[in-house]
Order: sequence, then structure tokens, then C-alpha cells
Amino acid sequence: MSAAPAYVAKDYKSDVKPVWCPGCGDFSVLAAFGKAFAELGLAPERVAVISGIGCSSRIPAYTRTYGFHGVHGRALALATGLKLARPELTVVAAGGDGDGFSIGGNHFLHACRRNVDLTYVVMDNRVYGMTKGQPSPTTEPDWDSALSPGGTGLRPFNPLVIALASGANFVARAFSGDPNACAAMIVAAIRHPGFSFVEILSPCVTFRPDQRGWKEQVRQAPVAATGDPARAARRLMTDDGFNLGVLYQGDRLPYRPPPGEGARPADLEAEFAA
Amino acid sequence: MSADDAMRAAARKLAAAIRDAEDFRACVFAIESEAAERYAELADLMATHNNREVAALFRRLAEIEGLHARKMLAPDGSAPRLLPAGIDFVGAETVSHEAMHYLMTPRQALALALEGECKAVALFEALAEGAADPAIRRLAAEMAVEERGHVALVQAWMTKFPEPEADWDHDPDPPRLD
Repeated sequence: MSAAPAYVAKDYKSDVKPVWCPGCGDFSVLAAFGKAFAELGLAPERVAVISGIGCSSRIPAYTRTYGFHGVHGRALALATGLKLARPELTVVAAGGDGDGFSIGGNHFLHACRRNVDLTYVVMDNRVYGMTKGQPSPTTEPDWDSALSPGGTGLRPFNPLVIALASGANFVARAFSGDPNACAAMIVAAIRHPGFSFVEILSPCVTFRPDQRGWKEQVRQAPVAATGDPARAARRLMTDDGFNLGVLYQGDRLPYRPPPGEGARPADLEAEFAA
Repeated sequence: MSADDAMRAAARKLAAAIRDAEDFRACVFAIESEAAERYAELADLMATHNNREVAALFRRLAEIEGLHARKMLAPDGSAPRLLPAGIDFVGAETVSHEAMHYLMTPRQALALALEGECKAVALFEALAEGAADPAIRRLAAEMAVEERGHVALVQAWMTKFPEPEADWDHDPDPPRLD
């Protein structure tokens, strides 16, 4: 038999039962987190899963690692601070498209630009599910619903293009319907140095039942990952949003704080002393 | 790739990775354990959404799959926890989260279970045909027979529940606002 694996996927699953809707793609992403961490042999106490607000942002509660269910849109600010303070930890930020690209849009741009060595997983369902179905930044312009009659008419945000243009070092897309492929993508993202961005198409079957059809639309990207940003840009700009795989792998060095002792907690607390 | 093709590809991968009966036992244990865990998750999920009848059904299916997994334990009760190197696919009998609906009926839940059992039959049949080692082929053939028994059991169970009504997913207080 092969050597004993240090961990199995189940080791990363907490006792908290998910309250996601039956059929939600986020269940598979949660399973993929466990598989990916086990594949990497990460001790649960050496991993931190950080999120903002939204259905998918509940994921830290469901994982048996360190976690922080933070403020809306601020997962990347928290994750960046944590990684700089505790570089030995594997830091994974997670959330949804509303949290990440609208409320947290500015943090997204600058996290890509800073290129700190962390992984950002966005479960993109193109809708605000937790607040009952408002269009999000990635919603199609013609999505007709009671809360956006006739559709928004607005051009959707293209997170992969924005990530590439802002300096992310790894850009990939996966589909929750294939948890093993999601896990492989998360493994690759964590292994790649710098800021890694993984968009996981994760259907909201409650407010976007049409997304059950995604499993027929997704396909493996017909090209291998490139390290050339110009080629990746052309590829992503012409992409229809359903090509899966690692689409860009850069070689930019991650940002690390200068060596030396940082501020001690007591020094920081002193600044706030009344 | 169709579901059958995917299962055959998985069987080929398994056939290449399984070296002996111990490896085979480890794979079957992993497949059955994962199926049991998934049914338990689905039972919790349905309980959270107050669909008690289907929750109870999934709980029962979790127990059954757990029994199948325990049959793979060694005489001293130890679990063959390790999968052979190179195996990243289990899921042979695992029901997908995607197919769930909070108002699903017991009949629909059993239809999902049937799909899982049929996948397992396909996997073991392919292994019984494709494995290089005759001992593995024999064990896989035995598992295929057992899984066909489960298929018949689930089919018999399904006849006890009515087909869902046409408006089975009607919710008088729907989450969608239009």
C-alpha cells in the first residue's frame, strides 16, 4: 500500500450543518475544499478560510480549519492582513460574486495588484441569493426577474479579465458540478505563488433555476494555460464564460513584507488607548 | 462524455491502479463510505428544509451504505483507509447534490438512489471485464452481482411510493418573488 495520507477530506469538515438550499453548487465547492486540503496534506490548524457575507461566505463555518466570517466584501482585506502577519499559514479567501465584485470590488482589484500569496475562490452564481435574488455584478444584462424587470441592461463584470489586468498571478475557472476538478484547481491555485484567483461557476438553483443547464454549457478550455498576459487577455476577452481550466499562470514574485520584526500587538493596542 | 463513458473511464483508471485484493477492498470501502456520508448529508439537508419524509429515507439509505462499507472491514475491524496511489475518483455510488430539491418526494429521492446504484453496477461490471488480475475480476464480478441486487431492491422500494404529482414543486410561499 502507499504511504498513509496525513489527512482525508472529511478531516476538514466541521460539525455545523450547511443551510444552503438543496441543489446549491456550494456543497460541491465545500467538498472540493476538503479534497484539496487533503491532497496538499495541510494540517487543519495551518489553514485559514476567510470570507465576507453571503450564502457562499458561510463556508468557514463548515470547514474544520481556522476561519473568519468577516464583514461584507472585506474577505480579501482580512485575508491579506492575515497572510502578511502569519505567512506560514495557507490562507484561502472565499465568497460570492456580489460580495467579491461589488461590495468588495475595490479590495479585489488591489489584492490582485498586491499579489500576496493567497488564494481567492469565488462561487459565482450571478445573483445575490441570500437577499432573495437581486442582480449581481456578473448577472447577464437580460436576466428578467421581479427585482429587475426586463433585466438590468448593464454589461456584466468580467472577473477573470479584471483579475488578469489587475495583476493576479493565477487565473482559473471551474464548475461545481465536477468537485474533483474543482479540488484539482484549488490545489493548483494554492501551490502557485502569489495571488491566485479561481472562479467557480456554482449554480443558485433557487433564484436562478436556469443555471441547472450550466452542466451542458461548460467545457474544458481547448488550450493549455499560458504565462503570457497578452495571450491570456485575448483568450479571456473572447471567452463566453464557460471555458474551464487554468487560463493564466504568471511568474510575478509575490509581495512579502520586508524582513524584520513587525509591530507587536501591544504596540498596536497602545495607539488605541483611551 | 456521457455518464456511461465517464464510468468506463473511471473503471479503466481503477483497473490500472488496483494491484491486489487489499487495494480493491480499499476502493470499495471508499466508494461505499462516501455514498453513506453523502446520504447522511442529504438527510441533514432535508431535515433543515423540513422535508422529514425524504430526510428519513436518506437516513435509511445512509445506514444501508454504511453497512456495505463495514463489510469491507478486516476481521479485526480495521478499516482499509488507504486508496491506492493515483486514485482520485471515488464517487461511483454517490448521489450528486445538484439533483436535490427542497420539495422532492420520496419517489424522486429513490430515483436518485437508483441512479447511484446503477453507476456502481456499471463500474464493477467494467472492472470485472477490464482488470488484468483474475482475482480482481472475480471480486468485481461479485460486487456487480451485489450492486444489481441493490438496484432491484431500490426498484421494489420505489413501487411503494406514488409518482410525484405534476405540481410537486409548487410552493405556496415560494422563494422567488415573481
